[in-house]
Amino acid sequence: MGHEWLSLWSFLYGPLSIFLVGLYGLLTQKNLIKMAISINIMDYGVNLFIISLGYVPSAEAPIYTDAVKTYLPVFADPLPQALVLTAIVISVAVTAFILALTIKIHSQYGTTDLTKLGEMEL
Amino acid sequence: MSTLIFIGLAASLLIYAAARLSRPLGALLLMLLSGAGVAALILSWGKGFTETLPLGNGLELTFSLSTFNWPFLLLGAFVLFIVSLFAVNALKEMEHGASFLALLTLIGVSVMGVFGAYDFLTLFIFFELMTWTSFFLVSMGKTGAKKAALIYAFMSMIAAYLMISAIMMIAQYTGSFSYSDFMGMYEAMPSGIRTTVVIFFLAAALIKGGIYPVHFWLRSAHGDAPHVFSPVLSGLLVKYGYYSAFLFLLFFPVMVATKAGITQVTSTDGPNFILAFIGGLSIMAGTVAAILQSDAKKLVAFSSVSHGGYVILALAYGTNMAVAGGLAHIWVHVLTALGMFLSMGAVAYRTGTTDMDEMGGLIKNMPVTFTVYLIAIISVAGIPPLAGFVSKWMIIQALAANGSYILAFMAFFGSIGSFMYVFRPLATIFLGQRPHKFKDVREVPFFMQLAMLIVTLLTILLGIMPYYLLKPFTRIQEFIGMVPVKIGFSTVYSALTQLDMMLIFLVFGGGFLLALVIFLLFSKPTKVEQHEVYTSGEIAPEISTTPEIYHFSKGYYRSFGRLFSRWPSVEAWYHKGAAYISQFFEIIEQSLFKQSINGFIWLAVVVMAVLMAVRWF
Amino acid sequence: MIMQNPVLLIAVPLLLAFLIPVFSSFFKGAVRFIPVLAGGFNVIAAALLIPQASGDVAVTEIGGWASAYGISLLFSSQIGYMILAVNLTALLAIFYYILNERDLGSPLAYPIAFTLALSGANGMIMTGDLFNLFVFMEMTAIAGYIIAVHKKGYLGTFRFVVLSSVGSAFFLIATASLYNATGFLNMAMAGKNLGALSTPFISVISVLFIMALSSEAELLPLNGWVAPVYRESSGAGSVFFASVFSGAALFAVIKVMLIVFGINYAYVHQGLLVLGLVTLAAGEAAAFKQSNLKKMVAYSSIAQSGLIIAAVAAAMRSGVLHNGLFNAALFQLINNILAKALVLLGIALLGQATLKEIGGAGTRKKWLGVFISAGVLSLIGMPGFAGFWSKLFLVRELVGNRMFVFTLVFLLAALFEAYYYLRFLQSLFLGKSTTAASLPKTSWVTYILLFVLAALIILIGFAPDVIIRAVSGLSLGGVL
Repeated sequence: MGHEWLSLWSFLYGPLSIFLVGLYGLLTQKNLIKMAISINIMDYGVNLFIISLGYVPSAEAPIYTDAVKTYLPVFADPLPQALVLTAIVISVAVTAFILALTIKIHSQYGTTDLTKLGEMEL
Repeated sequence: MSTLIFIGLAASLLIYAAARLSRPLGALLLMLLSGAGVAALILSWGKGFTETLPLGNGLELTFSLSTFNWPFLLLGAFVLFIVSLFAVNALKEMEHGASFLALLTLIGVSVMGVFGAYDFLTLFIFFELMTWTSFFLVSMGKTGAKKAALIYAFMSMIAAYLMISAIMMIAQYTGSFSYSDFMGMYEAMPSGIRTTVVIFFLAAALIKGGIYPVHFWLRSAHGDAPHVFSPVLSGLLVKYGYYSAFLFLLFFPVMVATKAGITQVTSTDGPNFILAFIGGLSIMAGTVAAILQSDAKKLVAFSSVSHGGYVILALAYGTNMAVAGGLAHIWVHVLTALGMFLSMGAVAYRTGTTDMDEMGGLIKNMPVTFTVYLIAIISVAGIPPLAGFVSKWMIIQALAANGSYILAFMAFFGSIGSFMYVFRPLATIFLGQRPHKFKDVREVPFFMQLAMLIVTLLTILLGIMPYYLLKPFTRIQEFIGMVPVKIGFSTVYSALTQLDMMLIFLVFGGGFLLALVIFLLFSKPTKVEQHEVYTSGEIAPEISTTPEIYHFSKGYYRSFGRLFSRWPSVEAWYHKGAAYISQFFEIIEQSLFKQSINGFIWLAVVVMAVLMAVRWF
Repeated sequence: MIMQNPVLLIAVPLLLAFLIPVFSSFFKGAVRFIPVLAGGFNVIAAALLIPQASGDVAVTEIGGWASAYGISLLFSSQIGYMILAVNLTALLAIFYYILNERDLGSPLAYPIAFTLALSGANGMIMTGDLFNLFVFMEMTAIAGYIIAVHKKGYLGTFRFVVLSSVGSAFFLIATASLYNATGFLNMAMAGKNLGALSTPFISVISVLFIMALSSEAELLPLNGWVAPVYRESSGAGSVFFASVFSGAALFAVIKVMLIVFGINYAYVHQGLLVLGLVTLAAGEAAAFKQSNLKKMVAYSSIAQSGLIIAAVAAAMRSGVLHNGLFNAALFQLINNILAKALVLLGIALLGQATLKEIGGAGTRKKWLGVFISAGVLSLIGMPGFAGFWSKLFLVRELVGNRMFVFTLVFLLAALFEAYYYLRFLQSLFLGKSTTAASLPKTSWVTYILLFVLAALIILIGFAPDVIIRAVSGLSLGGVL
């Protein structure tokens, strides 16, 4: 029971709550930089979720070595890890872009507060 | 005919190029083309053919020329011929004149397509072609024309979408777009679909035909369109509506009964009676509204509403006499609408205005235009011996013969009322006091006069010899299996009596001659300055009167207007509805697209929650 | 022959995009022609691939993996036409960029962005793998972010980035969960194994997918970025958004819906149908009030996306695939891509922003006016132009399948659409301009570009057979 509870927490509820924290940030924050951070937190949640999907209890790292010749090990699923790498790279790129955009907005409008920017936008 | 349509498309480009060089050249080219159309149609009297133009994948356009659509095709070619003749001079100063002529040629193409169609798809395609070309043509008019064109296009699109829905229902049931398949399977269709199809199609036809209560686009579209285009709108494009109504009325119970040879309408024919009643309302509403207009062209526009009412009333009434009368009235209205709009266009061409309150006394400057207008309105009012009398006589005969007195009253109301409204331009534009600024107005140039005189001549000739007016329509009656009305060279026989137009013409002609003799025998009148009439030649300086303040044509029917001021106005309701829609759209944009970023995320979360919740519970 | 591999449609632009920084150190001026190279290659390659493709989907395996485990690309002649339309409009937009906007913004970044966008859009259309779709989606999106700031419209772009990032987070969750549950990332295999899963799971996954794709495909609720981005984007940029990105994204949505969820999950399509119809109605309502031309087209673009998605969803809703409706929707999609590109290029060439400012511009630039009219009349479905047929087929199928509410919404929306587009044309030809600004010069090359599009639209309008056969004859064997 205890083990299952822990694994559910770390594999499903944990990442999900991190994701929801990010979503909450997007729902409430008015500052552009805080929004960028919220997006990042969301991405962390998602990435963690994907990684945890590849988890197999007491499995080995999916690396093909000589040891495989002697016994058949249980491997963790390598595919989510590959996916997460891609996802991380993409999220880094997007974060960089958002921050660059924030700098531009600040230099043009003198503020990063969405409520003040909203008036200029509409 | 498909070849002709491609020729028409090519011709519109050619005419555009020609008109860029010289406007009259372009107009003359169009005149030659449409004149050739008139000639070809007259030569092909009695002949017919059907041809298909395959588009692949089971789609094809079918065209036909038959007794059924011959008068309508002729009508289209004739109107374009007259209008392009008129345009030779009239377009000279118009902005966008070349585009105007090119688009008018496309209208000609749509005439061939709409009247020449032998399947619903073709009909619809050319209806739509007409919609966008005439949208641009109306837009080219004076100040209010842009708004007018938008309302016009909006209404046309409603009609088009009603029509396409009906067509697709038909196609789904019969498996094709063809008229004949539909006719063959109509009786077997489930009554629900049948009713929907008929209602949709007729609603579309009423909108296109400008029938009350969906008539309001006519006021501004016809009134504000370019002077050269108003005759086409009124003389030709509303006829598309009448034509499609007629196509569908063929399936109405009374028509089916009449085709079987019964001539007595009974009170059980609900749908027909409702439609006839709508036609009657249209007559009355159009008449009253026309009386209240102070703009000459808007007045004529409302007279179109009223005349459309006659056509729908008669076609819906459905006895063989009524149908012949209604069809003949279409042609009569072409002539009168051309006569009235062209003469108003001629006046506006010289004076630059259509506001009747500003004008007066132009009979001396423009005698030909005056004559054209006079003949046209005599025909409009249904006074013998002109063509208008024949068709109205037939319609009222049909109504009276079957004891439909309410409808007959409505038709009479329109006739009497039309005396009032057609007299107004006569009195305020051509008679009465001439303002000084119009002192040097000249008669319009030759081609415009010619166009108008052809119309006038035809109005008189068809009035004297109703055979030529009615023969095509009795042939239609034969074609659709209805008992044709009995006609002679100058006579029409109804169930109650008979009408000999030649006799009437001779009586009237005799009376006219008598009056002429009396006029010539007695001494010549003394000519005085016009305003002297009012003060008996003396103008007291202390009153400091000017001739203008005696101009009695201002607010001509004001007292009459008060009489009707409490009547409900459909147009006001439409305006209110439009304002509500506009507000509603504003709210939608504000709430869905003008949020802050947080707002959009909220929106997404809510939508997601709703979508999931709907699944789960 | 090497041209026969559809992967080149993705790989060649990608390679060229990476080569641009390298080239720029040698030939500084020449890099802006690289996107033309990429676009031109793609158009030719697509045109060569179409005749060889059949109606059935051909699967190309990448990297030697069996298609269920590795990345695979799908190609059929239907997809081929989609690719052709998207690349052709992209090519025209790139030409427009070179001719009129080359001095706008960084001379290095924009060629890269355009080339990347091409590669990503083609990938989105062709890929048969969910995660691969995510990668291409992000690639297109990032290229899109760059294109969106072309005219320094930072605020709109910020909206775009945030909404699109949220969308992609949803997409990742959905993809990962689906992978976990079915064991496959390949769309077809994942769809095949979906049957074993519980209904709540599928409905959550489907909602996540819908949300995820809604930002790129301009559907509600994540389409708040569309209007500001269109308004602030450059001429070439707006064409990329309206024709290239939204076309590719819509096709991706259709593909996911069809291949992963298929026709067996009526409730998925029901939700999508409602969402599409609401988007259609709301988009047209918002567009009706606009006086800014690009915003008007933006909202109309939203509405069209809603229409296409709703039609596709309606086609799959009842457990059988209504080929007619599905094909009509695809036909409408292709027509929309072509016509929107033409109209937006025309508006960009007029150089004026609002309905009042362009007053009478069409008479001063006759040919431009004529070309724009061809696009607009096609958009509102007038006969003689391509849009007429797709709308006609849509009505036919909708009435034929007794979807009367859909028909009503569709026709009402079309009514208001016709109204504001006609108002635009009226102002274009007959209005009086409120600004004294003279119109920017237009080169003859640009006119040729516009002519190509307009001729294509009119050609389809007069001989719909060609494209109907292209879109529909295929679906008999198996759609997509």
